[in-house]
Amino acid sequence: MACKRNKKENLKSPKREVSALKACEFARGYSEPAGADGREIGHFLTRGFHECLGEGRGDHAAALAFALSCAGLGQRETAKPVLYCAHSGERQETGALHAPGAMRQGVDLDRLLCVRAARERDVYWVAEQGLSCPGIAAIVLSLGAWERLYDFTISRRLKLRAERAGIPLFMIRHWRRGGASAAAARWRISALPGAPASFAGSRMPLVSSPRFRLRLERGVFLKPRSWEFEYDASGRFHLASPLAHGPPGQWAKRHGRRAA
Amino acid sequence: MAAEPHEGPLALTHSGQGGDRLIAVNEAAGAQGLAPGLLLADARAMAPELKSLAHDADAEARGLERLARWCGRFSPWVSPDPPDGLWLDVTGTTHLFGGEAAFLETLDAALGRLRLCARLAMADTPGAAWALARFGREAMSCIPAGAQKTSLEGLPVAALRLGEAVARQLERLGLKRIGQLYDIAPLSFRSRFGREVTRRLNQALGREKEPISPMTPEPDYQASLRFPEPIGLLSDVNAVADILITRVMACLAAHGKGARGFLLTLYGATGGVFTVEVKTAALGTDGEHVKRLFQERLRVLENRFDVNFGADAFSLQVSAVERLEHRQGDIADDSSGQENIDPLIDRLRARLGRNAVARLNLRESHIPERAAYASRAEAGVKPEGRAPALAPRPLLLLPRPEAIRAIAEVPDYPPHRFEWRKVTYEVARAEGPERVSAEWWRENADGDFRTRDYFRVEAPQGARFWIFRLGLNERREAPCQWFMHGLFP
Repeated sequence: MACKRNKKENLKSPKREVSALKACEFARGYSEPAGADGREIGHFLTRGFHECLGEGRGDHAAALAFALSCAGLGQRETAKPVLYCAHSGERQETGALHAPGAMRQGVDLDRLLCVRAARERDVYWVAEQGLSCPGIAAIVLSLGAWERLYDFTISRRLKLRAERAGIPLFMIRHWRRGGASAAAARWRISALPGAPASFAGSRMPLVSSPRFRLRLERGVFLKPRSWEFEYDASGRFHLASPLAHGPPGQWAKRHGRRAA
Repeated sequence: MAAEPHEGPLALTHSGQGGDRLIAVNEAAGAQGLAPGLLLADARAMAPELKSLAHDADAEARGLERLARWCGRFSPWVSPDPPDGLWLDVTGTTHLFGGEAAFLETLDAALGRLRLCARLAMADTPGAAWALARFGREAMSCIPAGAQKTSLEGLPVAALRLGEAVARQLERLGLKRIGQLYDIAPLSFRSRFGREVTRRLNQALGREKEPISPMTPEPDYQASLRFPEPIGLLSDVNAVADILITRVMACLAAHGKGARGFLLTLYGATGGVFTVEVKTAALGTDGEHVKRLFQERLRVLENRFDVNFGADAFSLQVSAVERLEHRQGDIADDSSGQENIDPLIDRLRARLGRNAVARLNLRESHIPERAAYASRAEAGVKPEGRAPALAPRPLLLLPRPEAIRAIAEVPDYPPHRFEWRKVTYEVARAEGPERVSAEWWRENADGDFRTRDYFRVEAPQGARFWIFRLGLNERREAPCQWFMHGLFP
């Protein structure tokens, strides 16, 4: 159903389709989008207020990895640190950020400030303080299940501050949450099984390089749709090769669009 | 300090020779002829309604120290003199209270408000003041400069802070008054009593110097404010802090110095002292920044002031003072982004606590709990150590591994399915085992760390977990237990 709708919209506005692709191109870090429209979209992921949610149970780590990766985008040229603020109740609930794992994900530990706040109110306060400091490259908030006060007012406040400061702000929410929000985009991230891999004699297929689906649930610039992506060794994400899942035709059929 | 006084006769007792003996009595008990040193049994015979309490020396010492801190409003140089005295070096401070006699009046009134009756004496030397406070005729005496000799003349020799045995021996020799010692050659004391008597006498008369060691070293820079009426409102306290910070900062700037530590002390009107400390990451030269830090800190601590009914004296002391290095900025250097996060770190710390802001660092260890640690977040602090490469590590690690129920083949295969937090996960793909053993080369460092076999497993939908098995089947370490320890993206 969703796929059909996507197809229809894509047909209606081919320009949007191109823009969305350019956003991803930009995220790859390979090319600076050209043209007025491209520049507009190119700025999309590197500024403003974005919400990142898992698609289901167990996708929290994927959402966090995506947010950290996006936060690292704007960091590439400057020496500015990323501010990561987590609710201290999250530590045992969803796990605490593990330095070796974060490094493997491409996070520069020298340029990561970790803040622990014991109250939800303090997490928003930290975000506002960070947004008022020009020495910060990006901010990642992780509230998880401790989100009680968050509403449209708070989201609008954060959005306005983030836009005024020109610092991207990513908020990781619990996957069951949703509702009204002023965020520039709400991304849903889900972990997908990696490309098949095994070796002779192994009882079970091996865990291969992970793959994710990124779904734009709502956005200011973009129409809702989804991509599949994976990370490279440096933690940048790029579109996954459709061939990995079989013949291009099948994949395109499944995802309701022609393989780009 | 604020306890209600007891109405009837009251005595503090301490077990001594022949049973409990009184060591302190109140006024009502004193009126009935009770005195320290009396046996409790005898005292009860004399005053049947006597109430007695065991003497708690530790509590008394603590109380004395609290009182000494509270007296910091009168002089920065206060030292407790156990068991029952306080030294105040008031050199150069009495004029703030309108002279020496007025100072003693103020001190007496302030102590009276705490329901303490004290004997006060002021003299040129600590020894003379000590003698007059304890053996003087009046409860409050202030002797003029250089008059120690005549004032002490009539006091008993015990007033010289001599040991009990020495004082008794002097009395046995007929030397009962201090005045009698003046004309005796010091050498003749020395052969009988060592240097003690001469030293104490010289100290009391000012012939020998005697320093008072204050409780805290006096800071180089400080400012204080006193008010006739106590202040209790947070906004007023903030305003006072602002004034003090402005003053101290101006003083520091005039000397080309900066500081990292600021300690604001609130002296409660009814006793009680409350301190608020703020530390800055960079050498604090920006008064506005320090003011903001204090505002944050005071807001957090608002409900914890233990100064009832407000504070009427404030002081701000500065520590970690350093000379300011004037640096010329590099015209091509764009490192300002790194530098100006220090104020942000200070603000976050002031509100969330000192350990709330950290940088993550790696340690060369395969044990996940040891492989990372948090360190100070200031700019310029470079973390050291690198993680062991190769092995996969999760993005999120549970601080405490959680027990899961898993079904796996023996001896060392990954589980087929497991149950974590009441949800059952099938395992579609798995990688492992990665064996992590105790680091035997570190002595007793890991306690009872048992060897773990880690697996990276993937559910059919794609969620990836890091689980481990405790207990080795091949060594017949039964029963095996499975734990969830981390989450991969």
